Amino acid sequence: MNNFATLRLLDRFAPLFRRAGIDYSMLRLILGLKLTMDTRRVPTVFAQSKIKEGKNYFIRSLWIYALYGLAVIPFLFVDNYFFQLSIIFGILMFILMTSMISDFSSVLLDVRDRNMMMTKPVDQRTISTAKMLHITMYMSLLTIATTGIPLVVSLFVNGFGFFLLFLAELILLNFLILMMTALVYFAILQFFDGEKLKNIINFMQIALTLGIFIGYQLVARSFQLTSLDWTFTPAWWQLFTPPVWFGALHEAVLTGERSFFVLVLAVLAVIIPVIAMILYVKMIPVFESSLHKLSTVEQGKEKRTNRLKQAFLRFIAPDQEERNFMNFSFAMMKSEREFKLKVYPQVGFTFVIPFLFMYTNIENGSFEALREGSSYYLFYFTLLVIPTVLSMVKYSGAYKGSWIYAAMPLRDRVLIDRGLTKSVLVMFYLPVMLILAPVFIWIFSGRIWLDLLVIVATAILYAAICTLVLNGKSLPFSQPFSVAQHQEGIKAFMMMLVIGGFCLIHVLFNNWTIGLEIYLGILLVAILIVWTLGFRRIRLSK
Amino acid sequence: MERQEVIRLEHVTKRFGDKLVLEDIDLSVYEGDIIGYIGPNGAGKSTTVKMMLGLVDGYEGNILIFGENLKDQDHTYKKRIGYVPENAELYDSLTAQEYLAFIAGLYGLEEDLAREKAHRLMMKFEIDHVMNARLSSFSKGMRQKVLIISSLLHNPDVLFLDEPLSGLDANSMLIVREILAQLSAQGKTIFYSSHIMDIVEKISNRIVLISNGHIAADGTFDELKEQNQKGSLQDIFNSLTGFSQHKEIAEDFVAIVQEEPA
Repeated sequence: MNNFATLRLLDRFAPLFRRAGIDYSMLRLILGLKLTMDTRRVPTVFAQSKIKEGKNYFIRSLWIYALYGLAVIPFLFVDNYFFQLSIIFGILMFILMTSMISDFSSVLLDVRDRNMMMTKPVDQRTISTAKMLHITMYMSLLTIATTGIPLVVSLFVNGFGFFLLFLAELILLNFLILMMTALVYFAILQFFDGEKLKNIINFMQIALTLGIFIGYQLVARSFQLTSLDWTFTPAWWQLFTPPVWFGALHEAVLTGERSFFVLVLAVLAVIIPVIAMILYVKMIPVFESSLHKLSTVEQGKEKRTNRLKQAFLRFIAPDQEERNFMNFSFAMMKSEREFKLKVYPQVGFTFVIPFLFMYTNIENGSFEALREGSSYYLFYFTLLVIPTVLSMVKYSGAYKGSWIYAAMPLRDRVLIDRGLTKSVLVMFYLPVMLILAPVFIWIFSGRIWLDLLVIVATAILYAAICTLVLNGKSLPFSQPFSVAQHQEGIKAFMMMLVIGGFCLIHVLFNNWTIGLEIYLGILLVAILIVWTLGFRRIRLSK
Repeated sequence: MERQEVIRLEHVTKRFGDKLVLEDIDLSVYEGDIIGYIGPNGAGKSTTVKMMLGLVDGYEGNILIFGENLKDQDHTYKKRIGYVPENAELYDSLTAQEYLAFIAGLYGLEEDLAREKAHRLMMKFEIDHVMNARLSSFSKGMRQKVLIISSLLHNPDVLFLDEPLSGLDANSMLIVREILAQLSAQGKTIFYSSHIMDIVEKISNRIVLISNGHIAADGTFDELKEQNQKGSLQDIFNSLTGFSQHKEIAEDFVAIVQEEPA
């Protein structure tokens, strides 16, 4: 447990730590423990009695960051330091910040450390230093993976001076990100309790994931649109955008630009990370002690029951037991953070997809042509949320709670599946549909109302099929997330292709005069059959 | 033989925000004491322990451990302290062996020695066969045994135990109780918090009851019995914490359970 390459590297700096008053052998012990645990970070599904010495999964995932990093390379060929590096650092900061928040929040906010180590004869500074080194190690690996190739390219394209400066700036950037994250968490913890912080982190993760999704689309498109001719115009807001500081630093050092504003920005690039670093070190004890809030529970607010919602639920699920499972699913899907992280970004993406396609259409024709055309079939994309969500509902972070299914006197297994399917439709499909339908009607006029109705009916039928295919016999929220493997993704993807089939049938019936009415009728009958007999089959085959 | 004072609290007051948790606590603890530290939930028991361990600071008054004020001490005094927290979180992904080696390392024990000692202690608790299994697969009782071992590996002079018997089976409980008695006979000091009065009554040679941030009682079980004219520690506890309606509450509870739906 104490023979990691990183530790042996660190050993060379041991005197340095000792001089700083840090108990190096303790530091090494703690870091060794942390690294050992990291190799086992992937949660074990079932309590294993023998350990398979796992590989460090973090290191295995680094190649993805190398791919991300490639996005930076085109900008190395631009002939304007300012613009070039602002963009490059903008991208890098985004990538690193995202992973900092999603992968290292847990490390930064680990409360166990405090209770475990503070009660032992180890001083606070050694513990804090160990924590910081632990994160720094990973941040460095991540940074190297992301920027390794661009750095080498820059050495050949932009010269040695550029390369060195780039490298130095990356180190500063790392400081800045680490400190910023810690300080933001610290600030949040001052005002809110731990649950709120976890929710905010979860929200940021979701937002950033969605940001990546959409960002890539936009970046890809903006290349076609804008010619890359940028000149620098100073503006006050640049004082608050770290990527621009680094651009300015390059400009100042490499071109000898000496205008006052550029110098100010360049100085910021150096000074702010250093100040943040000092501030962080000074604040560590306060930060650590405010972490205790993470484990305190604040009384939740009482939720008022919404009568309208109650009535609606009563309408779509008259059976009380089935409604009970609907409410249970609602509560789980709303509160389960990991579920939200996996599902919400994709739901958000569903809002955008149809318009991305329309946008491409408009580029090729006019808006008028679009309105007259048949792009309203893009409404079928709203169905994507259904397999996305349904392929995830059988997982839960608290899957062990599923013993209740076995212990409770369940009248009928079908009620669980139907309640679940309905809750997914209500919670995810309904909002997407209700928001996009008016937009579509505004774009394509009222002539498409019957088409939309057909698509909504399809959604109801499709949701039942998805539950049958994707969930089969498994109970909702009854398996740990780590089982969520690729085959699940493949199944969900196959189900997405089915949407195309439905769309095709729709197009065919549309060629008929009263084809749509007939098709709608067929769909309603199919819904009736699948929602009753189809669900029955799960139970029978059990 | 003059017994040495190990811990002294002088006028200790602690607030969380506006909430007064402990008020003007004075307490002296001597070597060989097994103190049953009891009190209702939220009375400030674990806060006291956490303050002595340096987990919580920002209190008024003085805490002296081994004769030295905590405010003037660095972390080294913890070498002589062992701690079993309540609901202890463990580093689940480690094996028992790795975990114990780590804790021993934090206490500055030599690695091979610690390993060997941990193994022998685990054998005594009959959990040596799972030495190389991950803690995440352990039952509550097994985890508790690991925790107890981890608190004793470095042969501490003072032990803070919070519900140390929880999850243990009857036989293991007997062993642990005997261990505590023998440690105390050797002059070790034990600070024992629990909600199970029967055990506290039997295990401790001195009982400190804390209620609403004050020490409500302090003495041997016999002294407390005499002062309060009650037969069991449970009764003393109820009378000192001003709680007498357990029958009424239970009756109400059962009545609600048995209500027929309207």
